[in-house]
This record gives sequence, structure tokens and C-alpha cells, in this order.
Amino acid sequence: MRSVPQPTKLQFDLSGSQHLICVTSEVIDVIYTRLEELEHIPQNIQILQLGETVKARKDWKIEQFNSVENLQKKLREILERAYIGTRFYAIGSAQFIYDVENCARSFGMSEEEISLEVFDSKARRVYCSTCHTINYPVSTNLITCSGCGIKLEIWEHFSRLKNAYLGVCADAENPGDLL
Amino acid sequence: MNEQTVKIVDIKKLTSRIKSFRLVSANGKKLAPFSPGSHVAVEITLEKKVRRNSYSLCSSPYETDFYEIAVLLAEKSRGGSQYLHQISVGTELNIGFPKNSFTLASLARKHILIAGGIGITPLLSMLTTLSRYQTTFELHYTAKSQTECAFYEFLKQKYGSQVTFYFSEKDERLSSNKILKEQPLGTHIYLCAPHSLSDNFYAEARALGYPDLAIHREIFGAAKTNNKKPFTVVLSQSGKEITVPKDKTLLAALETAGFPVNYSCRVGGCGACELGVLAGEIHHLDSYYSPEERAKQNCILSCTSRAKSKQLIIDL
Repeated sequence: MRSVPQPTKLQFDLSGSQHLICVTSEVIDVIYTRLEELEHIPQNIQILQLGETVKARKDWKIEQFNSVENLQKKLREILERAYIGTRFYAIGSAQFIYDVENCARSFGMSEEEISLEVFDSKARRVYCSTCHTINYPVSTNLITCSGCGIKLEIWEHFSRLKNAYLGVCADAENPGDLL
Repeated sequence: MNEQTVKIVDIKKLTSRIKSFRLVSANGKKLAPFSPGSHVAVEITLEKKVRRNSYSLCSSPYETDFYEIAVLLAEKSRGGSQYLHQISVGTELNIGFPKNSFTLASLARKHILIAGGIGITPLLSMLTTLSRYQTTFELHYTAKSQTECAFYEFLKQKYGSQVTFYFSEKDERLSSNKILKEQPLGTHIYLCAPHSLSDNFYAEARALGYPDLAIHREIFGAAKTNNKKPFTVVLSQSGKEITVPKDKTLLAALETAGFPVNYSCRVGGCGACELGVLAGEIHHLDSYYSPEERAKQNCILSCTSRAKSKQLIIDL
């Protein structure tokens, strides 16, 4: 059982019949490169991109969204009609990955059907064990929770379901004493 | 004690070769509860030899006072089903505790159940649960004819349009492509049918892109292989050498030689008879290990699998 995520690289599963990709505009080029690396580029590809860019390639079916809520709305519409055999991919920040993977899982998609890649693994999501708020982005090992204000020590324990690390009160014994 | 003692309180002839048995506790102890898809091992003593045949529990998991099993009189019966078909109400049997290697996926959004003949039995307990939770499901059930279709009236009455019957005498065939294509995300399939049908559905599901973990199979008979060769095994701890003839399993050969090995299903599905292998090339014939486990070549299910090499050294 792993407590810490193994950094994963987005991998196309060619046994899938349909490929749905969610990506942030900063890393769209990564998708193009990865697709072109494949011996056989799969047919049914749909790309949902967060962030609008001028240079949209004509040869891929890409839809651009100005907000994550709009992207999620479209994503849910697609997932509602999608058939099993579909594969789901997401690449972007930890927050973005969580926002879209959550949708895919709510429609019954499993780890076997999902491939993710986090860009900028320095920006972590941290789950406060006291008030359950997700703190993001976190790049240190000690933070103040944005939800309840307590000092959180970030443990090397990661939840795949929440896509977040566990944050535990650092000075529970003696508030203010962080030794 | 790994058993329960039960008494037969009712026997029904469902078809020309299938009988159902209602079992209640014979010693005042409550029957063990079970999850849908479970089976129990029934102890049968024939000519002083004890064997255990597994039968799926087809009753409702919510009925705590009785179990129901259905037994097909096998054409080439090793004696087990023959014995059960001629005993009467009132007979007491020793059975094991329920075990389950065919569970319902709790996160599935839709369940497609495929039954071939007696394969309907584990699916019956699943249907009770699926129906209670009001989950979306379909049952596709193939049998020779309506009169040879066990539980036909019950299924038709209780589950109506959610069941489709296919009678081979009327040339009605299941089309795996037609049943499996264009299903929603989160669909899981449950196959309990003869090998050829089960393999066909498995292959079609994979071709359509179903993830492997969404396909669940219960195998009633051992995998058939035409090419059974004799081989020898060396028991690493004693150095003793035992010959396994082509018509005997490794498990049976070890038992005959006085080395009892743990076992349960005896058809390569549960893993109870696993033995470590230290040398030799294994011919895996089970339906239990993953491809990765098979490739490691360091363990064998002695009830079914054999050797590609002339000899195996086993950890015993």
C-alpha cells in the first residue's frame, strides 16, 4: 500500500475506444508531443482545455473554456453520454487534476481507465484533518490552515481520492510551541 | 471447526437434471450470513473417500434462516451430484462457511449478468441485492429450452423486462457485441457460463475497451487441456520424488502419496491448494493468478496446473 503518490506520466491506453483529455493551456503542448510520440495515433480523441489560447491546432478536436466550472459542466455532459471503453486523461496542476478526475470517478470510472500527470508537483493540495479544508497551493512543510487558522504539519501521506496530502495540527500539545 | 451442519427440508425438481435444496441449521446454531455471489462446500462421502463439492448459494442474503442451492446432475459425475440427486428430505449434510470469489462491485453504475445453464445460481443472490438497492441491471440467461431453464417462472415474475431468455433449441443465441456495446461508464459484467460463452464475452468486452476489473467471472469446471503429460515432482524438504501421471492432478498424486495439501474448490479458482515452486517450468491452467503472477513461475495451483518441464521442485 503506498502512502505517497508515485509520480505518474500520462500514458495513452490504446485498448480504449474513446479518449477524453482534460488539460490546462500551459501544458497543451505536452499533449501534442505525447500524442505524436505514439506509433498509432488513436482516432476518437476529445480535448477539453482550461484557458483560452490563440493557437488552437486544427487537426485535434479541442474545446477551450475560460473557467474550470464551465469545463466541468461540459465534461459532465460528455461523461453522461459516454460509453464504457472510454479512457480519461488529465494533465495540469494538482488542483486541476482533482477538479476533473472527481467528475470522471463520479461516473464510475476506475483507476484502470484514468491516467494523470501533475505539472508543478511543488504546488500541493493539503487536507486539514481538523476542519477538512483543502489548502492550495502549498509548497512548504508547515502552513496555517486557511479554513480554521491552526498550524498544520504536512505528513507524507497522500489520499488518491482527494488528491491531497494530510495536514495535522503541529502544536496540539502546546499551542504556539512548534518544536 | 470449519463447518456447519444442515438438514434438507425441501427438494424441488426444477428441470430434468436440476434439483434445488433448501437447507436449515441442524444443530441450533445460526447459519452464517453471506454476501451475494457466495458458495459453500458440501461434504460428500463416497466409498469412504471424503470430497467437497462447491455450490453457489442462490437464496436471498437477507434470509438468515435457510440456504438454497441448486445442483445439476453432471453427465460425467464424479459421484457428488449423483449422490445429492438421490438423497431425501431430512438428510443432514456438513457444509463449509460461505466463501465469495464472485462479488458485486459496489461502485458500479450498471450491472450486466450473463448466465449459462446452471450458472444462474450465483447470480440469483446478486439479483436480490441489486433489486433491493434499485441499481440498474440486466440479466441474460441462456438454457436449452423453457422447461430446462431453472427458475424461469420465478425470474420472469420477479424481474420482468430486466431478464432476457435465450433458448438454444429455438436457435436463440446471445450476441456478446449486441449486449456489451454502448453501455454507460461504470458498467460491470458478471459471467457464469460454460467456458466458450464466458471466453467469448470476455474477449468482446476487452475489444470494446472494458477495463479488466469490470469483468467478473465464476468458473464452475476446470479449464480443459488436451495435452496432459506425466511429470515428476521433487519435494524439497524430504527430497522425495513423486510421479504425476497424465490422468491425475498434482494434488491428487500428492494426496495418494500421503502428502495432504490444503484445498477447496479443486478447479483452479480459489488458490487454497497453492504450493511454492523452486525449479521447473510450470504450465498454468488455473483461473486465479494474474499474468504477472504466472510469469514469476514460483507458485502453482496443484489441483489444476501441470508442468511444461519434465520435473518440478516444490516447496513441501
